Amino acid sequence: MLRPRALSLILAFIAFAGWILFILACTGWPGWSPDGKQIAFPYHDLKADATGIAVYDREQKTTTGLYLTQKNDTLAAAQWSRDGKQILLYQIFGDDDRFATEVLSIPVKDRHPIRSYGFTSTVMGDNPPLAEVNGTLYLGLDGITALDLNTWHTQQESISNYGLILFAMGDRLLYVAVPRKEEEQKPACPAASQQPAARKPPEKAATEKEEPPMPYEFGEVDRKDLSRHAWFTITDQQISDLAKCKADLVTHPATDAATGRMAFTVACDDKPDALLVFDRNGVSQLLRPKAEGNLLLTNPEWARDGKILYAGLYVRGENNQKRQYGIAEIALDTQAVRLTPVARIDASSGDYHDGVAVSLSPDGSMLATNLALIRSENDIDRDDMALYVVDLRDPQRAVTKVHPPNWEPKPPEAPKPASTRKAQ
Amino acid sequence: MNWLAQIFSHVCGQAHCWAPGGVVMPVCERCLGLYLGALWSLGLILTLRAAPSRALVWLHGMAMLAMPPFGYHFVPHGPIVRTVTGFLFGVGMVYYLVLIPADVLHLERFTSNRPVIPYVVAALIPLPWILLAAKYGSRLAGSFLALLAFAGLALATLLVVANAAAITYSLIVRQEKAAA
Repeated sequence: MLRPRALSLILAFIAFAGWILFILACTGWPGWSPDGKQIAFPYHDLKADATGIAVYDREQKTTTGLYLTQKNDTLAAAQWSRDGKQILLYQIFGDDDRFATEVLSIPVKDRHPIRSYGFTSTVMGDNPPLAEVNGTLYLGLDGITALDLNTWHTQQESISNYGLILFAMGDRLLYVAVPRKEEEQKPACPAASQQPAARKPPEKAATEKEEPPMPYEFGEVDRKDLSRHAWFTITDQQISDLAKCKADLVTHPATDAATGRMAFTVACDDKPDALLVFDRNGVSQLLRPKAEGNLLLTNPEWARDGKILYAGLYVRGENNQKRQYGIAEIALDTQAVRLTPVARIDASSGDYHDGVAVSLSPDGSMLATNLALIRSENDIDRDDMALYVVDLRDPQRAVTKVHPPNWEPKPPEAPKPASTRKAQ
Repeated sequence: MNWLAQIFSHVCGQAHCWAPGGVVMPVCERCLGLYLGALWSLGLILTLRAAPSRALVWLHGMAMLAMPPFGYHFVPHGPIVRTVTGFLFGVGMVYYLVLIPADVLHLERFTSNRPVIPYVVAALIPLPWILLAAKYGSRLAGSFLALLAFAGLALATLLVVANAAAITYSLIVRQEKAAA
């Protein structure tokens, strides 16, 4: 029989059409045209109930969804490569002791091939932005991973006992080695961690007790062999003494390449946050912003003139109460604060330091801050879930609010029927 | 696996990929299932040589239908469901794509009637192993799975070409007969 049966023809057509539809659904259709004036930002997609990445075009005033995760617990973020040719998305999946970080690169020009790189680690990845120097992306987890964005080749240097915060200062790659607390370290054997402390040999327990806490180490990474060259160290206690509170360094510093300074937010447990400025030799300045209340600060950004630090500012209040969040411009000399109100949110210090950030445009004229990732309407009004762009050239500091894709206003509440019944 | 990433980039979004041994695969979780399912389906067809009974035709159609609600995100789901539905779709797709070349080459004579349940069990045998290798496997396991997926993609492409060739050939023969 040389003729196919009609049923075979129909079924083969169904299979072929199904495959083509499958491919189209998997690769996606929407295109976008980057012009270097766009902002990529993570958001909580209300329809999909998932984290997504969107791109806001400042000239066209449009927002386009670029990527949607399918897990609510996925931490996703995006940044542009320095040459503007790629959008880099990264997402972190994880449980208590094992994390997987995935970096996706979407070429701006024709959107394919999308490349991805992933690895697992025992500590969670850096907060955005990841450090990029000369076309290589550096990630600090259980060591240093250098990812060449052109060849996609990697180079790795393992480091134990320390988590690394990597950041670029011009063309230099700097690091802060953060000592890993005992509970953060993955035990060699899971059962070992469940052994009661009394079973340890007494002399070993005594030695452990006497060991001084490991300090933070600041320094520079040699990009050729990924070796570390320490500049100075500072302990938790020294930072707490300076800030006069029980303090932690909030990840991702602002850097000023012209003067070689870096500024970190110091998160205080029960007092207003402060800013610590370091240079190559150690602490050079402690800043206490002159603003009322028990304030929390986001990561800082350095103004191009080096005289002002920008940071998101929120005043701690009682639980279940939305309070004003704004952009603070903190003068380094007087520590005076100019505040531009943005929106009202309710955030605990942990959520705030991890989830809210500010980002300065490359020319230093605009500042973006993103509240579109806050998903609970107990923490933010539906109307305020947005990306905010503050025009720093405008004396009035005009704020542009940009809602993410699939955002919808809250439906109006139905009127109460009680009064109608009374009238009857 | 750069060359595989390049090839799969034309047919796969390459987001939501398994990362055996910490290395992200060049193909997404659903497409991995699809192309491995495609390869396994051909293996089943060649080894079991089951005659295309009505029950088998319906079963493969249902396997393909399991994919759309998940592939088009009508139902929330995770990586395992993505791979499983992709696998089922691949098994059904290749079964359907084999029918025309089999008709034209008159391959029915090599087939025999097979009971459905053992066939279904045989069709699902590799699924747990694929999921285990993808979730807990080493880097080597990831490379092996990626190569098998590439073989599945090549097979699906060849079958589409074979279908086109078989239809064209049968049309030519039909026209020649009509002319004669």
